[in-house]
Amino acid sequence: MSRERDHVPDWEHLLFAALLLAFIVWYLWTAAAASLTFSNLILIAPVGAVAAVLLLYIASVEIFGRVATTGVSSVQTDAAAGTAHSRFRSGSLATIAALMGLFGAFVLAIPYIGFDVATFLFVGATLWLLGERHIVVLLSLALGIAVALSLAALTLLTFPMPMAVARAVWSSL
Amino acid sequence: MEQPVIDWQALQSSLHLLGSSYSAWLLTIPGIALGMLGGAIPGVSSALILAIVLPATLWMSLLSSLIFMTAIYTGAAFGVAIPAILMGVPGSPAAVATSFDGYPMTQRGEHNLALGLALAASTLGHMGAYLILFFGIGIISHAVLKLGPLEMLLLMLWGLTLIAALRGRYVSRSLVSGLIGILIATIGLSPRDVIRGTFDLPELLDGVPVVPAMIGLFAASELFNLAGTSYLVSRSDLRTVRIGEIARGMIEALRHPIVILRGLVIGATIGGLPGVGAAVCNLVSYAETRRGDKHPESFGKGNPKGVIAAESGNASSEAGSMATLLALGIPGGASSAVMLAALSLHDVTSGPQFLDTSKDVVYAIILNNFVQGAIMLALGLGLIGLMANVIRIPVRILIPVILVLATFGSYGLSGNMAGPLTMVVFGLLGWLMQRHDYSVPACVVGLILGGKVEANLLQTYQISGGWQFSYFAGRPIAMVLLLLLLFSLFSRPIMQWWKRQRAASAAALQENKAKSA
Amino acid sequence: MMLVPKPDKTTEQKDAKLVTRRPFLRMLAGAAAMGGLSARRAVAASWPDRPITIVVSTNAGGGFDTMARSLAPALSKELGVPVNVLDKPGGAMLLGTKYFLSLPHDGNTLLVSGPSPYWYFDINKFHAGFDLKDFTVLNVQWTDKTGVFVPKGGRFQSFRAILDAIKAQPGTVSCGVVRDSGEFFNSGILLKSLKLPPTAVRLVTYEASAPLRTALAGNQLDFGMVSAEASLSMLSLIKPVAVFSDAPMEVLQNAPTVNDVLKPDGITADFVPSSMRALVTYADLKQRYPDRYAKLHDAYKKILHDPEYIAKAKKQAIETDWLGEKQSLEKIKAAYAIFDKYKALLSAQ
Repeated sequence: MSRERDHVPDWEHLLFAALLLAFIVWYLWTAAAASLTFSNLILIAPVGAVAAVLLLYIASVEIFGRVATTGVSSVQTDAAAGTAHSRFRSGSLATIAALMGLFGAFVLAIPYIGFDVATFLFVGATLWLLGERHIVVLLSLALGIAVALSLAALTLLTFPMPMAVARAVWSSL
Repeated sequence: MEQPVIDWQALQSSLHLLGSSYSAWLLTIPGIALGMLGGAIPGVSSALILAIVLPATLWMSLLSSLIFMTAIYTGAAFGVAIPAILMGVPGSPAAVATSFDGYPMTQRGEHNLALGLALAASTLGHMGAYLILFFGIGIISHAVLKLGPLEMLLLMLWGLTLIAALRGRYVSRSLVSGLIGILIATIGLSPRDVIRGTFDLPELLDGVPVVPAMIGLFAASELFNLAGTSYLVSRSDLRTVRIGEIARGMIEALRHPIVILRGLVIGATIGGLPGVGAAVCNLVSYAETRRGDKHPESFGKGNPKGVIAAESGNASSEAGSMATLLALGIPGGASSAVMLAALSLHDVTSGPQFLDTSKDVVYAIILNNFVQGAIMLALGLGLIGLMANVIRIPVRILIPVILVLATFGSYGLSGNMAGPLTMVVFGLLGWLMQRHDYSVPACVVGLILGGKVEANLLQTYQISGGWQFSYFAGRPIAMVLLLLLLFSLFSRPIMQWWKRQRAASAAALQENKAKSA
Repeated sequence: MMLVPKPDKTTEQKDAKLVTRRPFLRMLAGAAAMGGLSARRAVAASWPDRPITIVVSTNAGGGFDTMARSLAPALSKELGVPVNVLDKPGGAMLLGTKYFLSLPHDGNTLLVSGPSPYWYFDINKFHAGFDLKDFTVLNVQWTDKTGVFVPKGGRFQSFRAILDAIKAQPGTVSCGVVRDSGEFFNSGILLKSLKLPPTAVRLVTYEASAPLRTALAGNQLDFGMVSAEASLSMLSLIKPVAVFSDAPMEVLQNAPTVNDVLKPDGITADFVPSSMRALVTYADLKQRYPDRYAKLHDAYKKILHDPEYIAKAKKQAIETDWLGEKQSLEKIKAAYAIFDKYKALLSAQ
């Protein structure tokens, strides 16, 4: 039995696994602190424990490589893993990260600048990020969608959505 | 209480009711259309649409309002499959499994086929389940009553075994996904009122909102990944909408009657259990079809049977939840709760006596839903033809539009930013999970079922006085369920092991013969 | 057809704050104004002049929602404006109640909620951040009682039989209650009065009354304690054997009161009412807008004395008690006093 040679740990994966492990530990800790009783922990303790153990196993495989039983199978696994990652790596991580950031900013901004304005800005910025360069198309799409959805929110939804100008405009019509 | 299988008098009276109520029929078509359109928007669930139209039902008769609402429900049941197939973004948890094979088919340019499959499976599942309901509404509702927390626990565990069936490349990673999904589902108030993991946010007291979380896990992560591509279907020659092909898909669905039947039975029976909605039926039907198939590894890559199984399970769950609603007055989920409100708006106290006193109304609803199935076929073809053109829209426009729509939808139901914020957080989580091969569907299964598993586990503990054997011994239904669970889990691997053993010993026998010869 | 009336000024005021604080948006708003914003009348001469909303802190279909929806058209007729119902469930009534408090305290919003027992749980267990004195409870209209029910065909068919079995074989009889409820308290108080430990009964907790009633109907439990009125629809499958009340109730087939059954043991048990459903407004409404408060109060009182409304409500099994503000508050405080007395039960596992 020997470890695979030339195994490079995927640090991104390790970081993610560590994050998951941290969540499990934190959650079990606060739950036990809230109430250290059988009825409280009956499910989450075993589930959390098994998940934590699995994550430690996954992490150790990532760091040390899989124990090779035959040379062929480990090469196959590596190759398969390699192609899985390359699917994401070639697709511009920066663009994806920017998109996620924009979406997060959009949602966070809604209570502060209103759904109408936020939608307009978000759609416009995202279109630009994803490659739309015709300014007329960009602006008209952004405006159109913002108007349409704000209208829908004002007329259909039972809960008032935060708006900057749409409500005032609508009630004046 | 002896009850005939079909109450002929009530049937006659129901036909009379349907014949004289023009408004009920007038509302059926707009109801289905509304449901389909709304369902096709990710994040807008049938519960939201029903909540919006609830005040309007005040001006309708009891029959009309129930027919209008079930029409919306029916339309939405299919509508949610459309984005699931075209974009890999389920319109609601009820179409999660539909996307597993529907979206790969789209990527191959087979979106027309997939949509046709889904429409046919949905229609047949819907009508078949209502047929079962027609004959068996009494039986179904009595069966629901017989299930105690132990039986429910076993059913939930059976659902959880899906996690094993849905695994990706790494078994350990998918298990972790599922387990973490279960943990997240327990955030909030425990069944014994302990506050767990809420960061002191009152919005989390009822737990993480499942629909936005699921939209985030699937939708946002799928959409983020589409960032580099130009169109959903890469080959431009396949980027067309062909009604003919859609029809072909519908006929193709008919070639798999067992798959449809399986989904039908699953939805009609367990769809009636409170808390078990279309989401669970959709997943369970898919997993069971995959488990019993000769080539389970072909699922998740564009196997038509996957789409058929998922949609059949989804569509038939409506009939199941109507059974418990009408016969017992128990709402199965958010959508049926709104229907319960409609009932009380019309001065109806629902409960077992509703079935006795208003059987004609119940029959009328069932009969109308048969017809709804036929209407949905026609409307569906037309609507799909229209909406499938989404694939011709460049992805750079689709992404922001869908994200904003989903935000709109997840705000609408809760009325605060908890929904949209959950979507963002789970979008990030889903993307990270996909990147490192942690199965997202497994996490969703854990999320959907986790809370129920804990509640039933705890109740089983309480009701058995701390695992007293006497309780378990007196529950034959539970034993049967346990055997079924073990059978469905282990029958295939055991058969395969057995076959291998026999093959090995036969080969050894041959070898010996050759040697001695 | 507009399903929801046009937005009212309260949310406009919130939007206005949004706009005035941010210069860029102020610019936009100014542009919109130039587009033809009509000036709203500065102060409405007569009130109400816009739709009123009743926030319900539970979800659609339950008793609170039903009560609100029955009041809405009647209030609309009295006050001359549309009245909408808005369900905002979550956190055992906490979210809806907090949401109500966050809206402008100007009389255009009312609340239907459960001061007892829900607010008690919210305040004492879930750190709600509000208190009874933030509200004016106009009236506790509908008070449930706790009924003790058994499945028809179940092991026990009388409350006496249940009590005897609990004493003779502790830990073998199962009892179902809803977890955040008056019944939860009543079961604990009952055991304490009988000088029995909490483990004498297999207490099974349910999230809501519907699953509990289902369990009873299916003979999953030996007995259950659940709100009496809500269980009326199930009377073909479950049987009332006792009621936590001062006198037997006709709708519950005149089952004996709990204390009647306990008489031979020489015990009288405290008990809390199951659910109080009240129409609520803001504590400071009376001083800020005394005329609006008076209008709401009088309209509501009139409705609850209107025979037409009473008959309609009866069909939906809604009660129409008029206790008025003072008596309602006393009733709530009396219930809170009992909760306080048995506060230890809150943290019992």
